[in-house]
Amino acid sequence: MTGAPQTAPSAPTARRVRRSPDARRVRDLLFLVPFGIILIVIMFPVLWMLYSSLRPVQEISQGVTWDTLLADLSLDSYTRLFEATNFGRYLMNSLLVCAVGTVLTVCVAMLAGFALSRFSFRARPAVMLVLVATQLLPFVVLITPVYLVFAELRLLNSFAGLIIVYVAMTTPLSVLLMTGFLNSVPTTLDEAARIDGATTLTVIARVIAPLVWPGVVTVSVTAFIAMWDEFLFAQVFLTSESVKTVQVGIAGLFGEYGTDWGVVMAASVLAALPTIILFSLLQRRLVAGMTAGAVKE
Amino acid sequence: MTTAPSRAVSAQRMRRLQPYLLSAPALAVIALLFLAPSIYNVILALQSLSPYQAPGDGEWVGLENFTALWGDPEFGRAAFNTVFWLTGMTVVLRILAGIGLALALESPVLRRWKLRGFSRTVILLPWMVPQVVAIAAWRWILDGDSGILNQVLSALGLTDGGVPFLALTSTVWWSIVAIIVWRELPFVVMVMVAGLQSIPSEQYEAAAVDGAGRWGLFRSVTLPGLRPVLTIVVLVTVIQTFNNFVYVWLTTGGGPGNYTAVLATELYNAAFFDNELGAGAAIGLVMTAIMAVFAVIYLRMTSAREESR
Amino acid sequence: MRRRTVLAAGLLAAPLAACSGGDTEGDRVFRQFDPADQAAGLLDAVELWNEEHPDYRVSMETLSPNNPQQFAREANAGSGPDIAQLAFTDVSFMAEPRILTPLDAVMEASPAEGADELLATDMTTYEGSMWAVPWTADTMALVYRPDVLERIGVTETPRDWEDLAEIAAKLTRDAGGRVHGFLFPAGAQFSSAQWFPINYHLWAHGSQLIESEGGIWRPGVETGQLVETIEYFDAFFTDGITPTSMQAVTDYGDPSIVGALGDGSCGMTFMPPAAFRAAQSAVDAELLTAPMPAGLEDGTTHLGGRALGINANCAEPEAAWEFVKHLLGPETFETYPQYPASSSTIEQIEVDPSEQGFVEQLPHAASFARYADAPMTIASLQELVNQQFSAVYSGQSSPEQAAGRIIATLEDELEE
Repeated sequence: MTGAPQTAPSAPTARRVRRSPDARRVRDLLFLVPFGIILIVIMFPVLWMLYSSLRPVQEISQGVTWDTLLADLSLDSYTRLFEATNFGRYLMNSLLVCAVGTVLTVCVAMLAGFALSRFSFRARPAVMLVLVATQLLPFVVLITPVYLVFAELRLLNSFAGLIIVYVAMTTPLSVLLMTGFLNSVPTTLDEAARIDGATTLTVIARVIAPLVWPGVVTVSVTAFIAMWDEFLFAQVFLTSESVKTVQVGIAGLFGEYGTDWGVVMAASVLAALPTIILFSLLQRRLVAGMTAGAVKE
Repeated sequence: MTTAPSRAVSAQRMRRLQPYLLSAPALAVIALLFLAPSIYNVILALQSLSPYQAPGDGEWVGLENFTALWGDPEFGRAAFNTVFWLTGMTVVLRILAGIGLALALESPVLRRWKLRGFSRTVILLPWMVPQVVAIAAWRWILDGDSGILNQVLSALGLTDGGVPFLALTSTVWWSIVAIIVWRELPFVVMVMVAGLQSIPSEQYEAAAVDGAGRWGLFRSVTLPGLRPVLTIVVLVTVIQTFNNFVYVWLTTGGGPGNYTAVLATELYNAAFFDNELGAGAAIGLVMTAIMAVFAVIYLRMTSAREESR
Repeated sequence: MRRRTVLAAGLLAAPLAACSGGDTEGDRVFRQFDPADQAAGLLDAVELWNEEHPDYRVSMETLSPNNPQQFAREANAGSGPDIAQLAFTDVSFMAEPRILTPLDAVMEASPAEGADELLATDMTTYEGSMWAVPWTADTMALVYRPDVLERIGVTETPRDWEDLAEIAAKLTRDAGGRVHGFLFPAGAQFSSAQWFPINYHLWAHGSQLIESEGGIWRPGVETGQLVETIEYFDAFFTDGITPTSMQAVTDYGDPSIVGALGDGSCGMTFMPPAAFRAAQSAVDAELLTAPMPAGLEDGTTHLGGRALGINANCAEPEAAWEFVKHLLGPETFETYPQYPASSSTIEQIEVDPSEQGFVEQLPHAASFARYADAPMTIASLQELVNQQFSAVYSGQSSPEQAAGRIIATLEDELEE
């Protein structure tokens, strides 16, 4: 195991042998070089995708030679994407649905997770089982009853319908995760707050949420990506051009007679961007949240 | 405001009701989506119905959809592939690599070099690529004729001529495993990082005072601290991977031959190519049963451990 | 805190407000399933209709890829588009639960241009009625690089399958293995395009996978012939003419095939018209088409394509039929780059000389009606055949084992 956790002791450093900065630098490199190679391996397919979106279509599945590495790169695929589809619109639709859905999921999951983590009530095992069981349904076969329910509620071709489905779809996993995170936080703090007379909701919002902030971020990102990546429900619920999401848009680029892979790659790069931006923003909040929590302690 | 004694009684009742009230929104929204399909799944498994018919037009066939599975040799192979390769292999690799990378991300070295934010974003990148596209990109990378991986391997002198990774029985499962681990690893890393950050630093300090070394810290503080989250992550990744059909479907479609067939692809074939939704639902129920047995055993084991703690 | 609540409420209200009514309200809907960039010409044809018929405006909805089950789901629930593009092979699935409007009456009352010379009506007829009208037609033609063939002195494209194997072998041999004489997608997936040449080969040798006699279905091929066909295609791999990497490819327009056509490392392959045009525009070198081996004999190649159907829930089927007639007419095919599924309409459109292979072969192509309405779906046949052939290429079965398994499965499934 390389590297100790960041929360490792800072006080007992006195016990450690003091090393010269140079020695430490060499030791750091022993960690950084293999780690860097791993990062490159992880990053490579993504960069390859980005690169593919800039290459002429007929070369897209081919390897490269040094002299043609950067030749013929262009934004043609992106131009074609926006000429052929309303991709900007799809992006906005997805952002709206996923943002609202994520906020709702996190709230719902926080409440249920708190119940499962802090109370031992009679129905607890049953609730846990229900949460796990939901992950087992083969929706691909069972989509028709869902369609009929939502048609009856007049929620087809609407964002509201899709948001409800997405919240429901991501809630079980989010609750389970949230329970896990809450279980790893000692109960002493919220019990203290409760003795001070705070209501449960206040305890959750003011004490618990800041403490499990990394968990909240994790659950939001997980839920957001699950929604962002979702295709089955979106395709069945949304047939009208004005409400289509990014995944429906990308699927629409695949044709029986042929697929313009340059356009597909361009669309994917654009589809990945919002998540990357969201994560970078949340990450900053993540660090801020950590320090805020620490100060409170 | 009410008088003191009745307030105490109602507070007690409130306290008893509270977990139910708190879980209510989650359960309500889950019921809306899952209730009808889960009942319908059982009905459908006993029927013969094509995807083009109205749901009410199914013809009752008793247990025929299940007995058909019994004699099917492909079902056995698909079940083995699902349990061993698709689920077992990828989950073990993801958990090990996930914990390792999470520890690396929290390492003081990265902080000293101000590389933490960057590294974390890079590790999460694969997760942000839509599955369909990630698989397409990987298929080109793995292409036997002109794929970039083969170019790199032969440039390094490791192979002689292209290896068609997805066409050979010797390499196809490892290729699928690599794609799954690559794409789904970020989730594990992210949860593990959050788990690490939730471990109070006093615990490390206390253990260090007791003279624990690095390995000792990992075993006595880190691992127990991660356990609540780890329990959930293992459960969730096992179930989700077990049911996943996208990876196999889009990389090989179960091929070469039926070498990489898994239960989820069998389900899809039955429902949408043979036009037998009932047969698909039956496979789904068998899959559910396998996972339910797993979940019950797993939850019992892990909660027993929690109690003994 | 309060401001945040307001913001959250606003975010919630926005999507709810957006849900009332789509942009197609009041219009009839025509749904097609090709990617938008391939349907631009079709949109022009729809707009032309709308200009001339302000009283019956139609909006075109694109839902790709093809998802017939979505149409069925909607139609069974009493909704769905008024007019839908349907793959030939899906029509009988829709006819069986009666979610399309039978067209016999409207077709008789108001015949469409070229309606008496429609191709593939056997795919749109079910239990004696017409449930959709054939609209566009396609088939697979041989696609080749004339310069690569000329380099080894070949001026004529292969006449039969044995000829193809010989020329392909020569192409590879003379180039010292640098050129793949014949490329074909050989993946195990149900969608793998090897399904087409496999059938063409069987048909050219007087067999077919299944056949029906007086409503009784049974395998239509002897084990010996099936083994021969398996060995024929397997030989491309064992002789090194086709690279093993093709066993992981499913699509005729796969970038690896188009790329190989582009850099001259592929001599011959096969494609439908739209894929050929896409390849042409992506590749700098000249590409030509020719009939498939034995493709000028009747019934040795397949006639695929799409039909137009009217939803059983459509309120005014007569008016919808007028729109369908417009799409069937030669005017549409001026902007829509497809071959019409009518032999008289096809004569009225201009075809690029490079597409000669399709034009010559189409009159001889026969639809998959020979496999339709069997107890086993065509998709299941595809899945079975592609998988078993792939098992031989990858060394998991011998040709005899694979042929035996195919026939055993056919017998088993057809018995029901």
